[in-house]
Amino acid sequence: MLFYITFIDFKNFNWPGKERKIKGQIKAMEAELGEIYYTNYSYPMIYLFKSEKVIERQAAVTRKDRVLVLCDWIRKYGVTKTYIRYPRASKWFIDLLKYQKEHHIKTVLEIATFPYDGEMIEGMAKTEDMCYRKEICKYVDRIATYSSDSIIWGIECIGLKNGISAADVIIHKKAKKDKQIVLIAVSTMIYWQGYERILEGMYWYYKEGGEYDIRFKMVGSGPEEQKYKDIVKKYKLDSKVEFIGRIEALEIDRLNSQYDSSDIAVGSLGRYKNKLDTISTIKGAEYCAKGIPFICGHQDSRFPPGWKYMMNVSNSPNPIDMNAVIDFYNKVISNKNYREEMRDYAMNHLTWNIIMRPIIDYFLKEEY
Amino acid sequence: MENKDELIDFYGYNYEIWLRAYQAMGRLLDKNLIANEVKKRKINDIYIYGGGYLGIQFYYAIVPFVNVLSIVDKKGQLKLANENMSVIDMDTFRDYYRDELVVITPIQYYMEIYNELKSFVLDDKMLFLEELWGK
Repeated sequence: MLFYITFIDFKNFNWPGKERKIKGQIKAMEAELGEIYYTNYSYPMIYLFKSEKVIERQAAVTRKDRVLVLCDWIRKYGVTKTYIRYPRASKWFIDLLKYQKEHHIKTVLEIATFPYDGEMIEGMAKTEDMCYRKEICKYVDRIATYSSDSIIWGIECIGLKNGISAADVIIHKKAKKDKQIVLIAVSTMIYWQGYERILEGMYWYYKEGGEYDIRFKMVGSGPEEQKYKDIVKKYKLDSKVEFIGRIEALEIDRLNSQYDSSDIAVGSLGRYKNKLDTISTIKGAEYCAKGIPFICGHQDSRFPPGWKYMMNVSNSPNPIDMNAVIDFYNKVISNKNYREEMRDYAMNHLTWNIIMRPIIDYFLKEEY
Repeated sequence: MENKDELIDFYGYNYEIWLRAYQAMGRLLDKNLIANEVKKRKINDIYIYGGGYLGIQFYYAIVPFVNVLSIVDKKGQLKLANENMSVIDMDTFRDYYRDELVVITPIQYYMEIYNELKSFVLDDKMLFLEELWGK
């Protein structure tokens, strides 16, 4: 029995991409490792799920309570393997790992972003993490990471990439209008998205007499939304930029219709803010599977260098050059089959079944 | 306590509990928040579980908007005596209980109280104090 342990609140948190990712990973592992139970936490309750049905729930106010409940469930269900999404280190997280080690449970710890110090606010949680993460190497067998590290804290790493569940992603179709390019960004509006670079690029493009009708649709909401709205106002881009708002995970048709009226997708452009050069985002994989060319400001090791359907811009605060975007797009559409080629690439490289392969192999390897 | 780990365990655990309790105390000062939640959830009759500071403060915050049937306390008493508040012990509560909403206030004992009540109170009739405002 394998437990997929996550402390993310599936019900309330507003990052549907992460939920899809977790479910995609579970489904891929389940196909080869058998039934997987997974946990999530919605204060003050911790839940154990089996195929989206709650099979256990328990009140757990503190991190200590959560670990006690988890150890209890691990014992009750005879768990032999765990896949844990890293919640940051603490005394109680180490207690959980220690318990697993003592009970010969094979553990893979997934660290989504590494290094992550730049993402943490100075304070108690950061200090606590810095103190306790030194102990992780005593208890964890492998770290799964999206970074390019081969060893983290002395633990051997398994390289991961963000992927897709192919069935969930429909190829986009767009009736092309001459001299019009519609950009779309679908994400939670967090500072590292750096969409101000697009807005500034549009401002400069029109200031210098640009003739293309460039539009930018922003789907989602988040802490940076107001800042983007202020920039749009400042640069008088109201007629060019549309704030669509948040589209819920279940509103698939609504989201697809937004993609269908767009030409280029926009990935993260502000990763320089948290000092990250190479990452593989969920969105990048989804854009590829949809067959929509995209722009991003970081390296993405899932795609070959200079891949023709991804426009790699500098990882800096500089405005995006809209003339370069137009050239990129015109080059892409000169190949009539670009959507199908992108989709094929996603199917061959980016599905969870392929991406989770090394993790599955590790779990299948000799008994602990 | 024999070592540093036990000390951290004790202080860390209590810090999280007290922080939650402090934040809850603050939220209870917001009359509009309580009034809106009562309206949204269509709450009429309730039992308040816990005769400690939080239970009593919650009583004062919610009594203008709902009918508080009684405060339930394991020991059958309040931390601060108050003649206007009805308080009953667990045995009496078991006898009186007729499917009304129970709001559980002692944050430190959520797990124990939940486990004790679930034998005769339905899950959707139990509400942890902080769930009232969504966290």
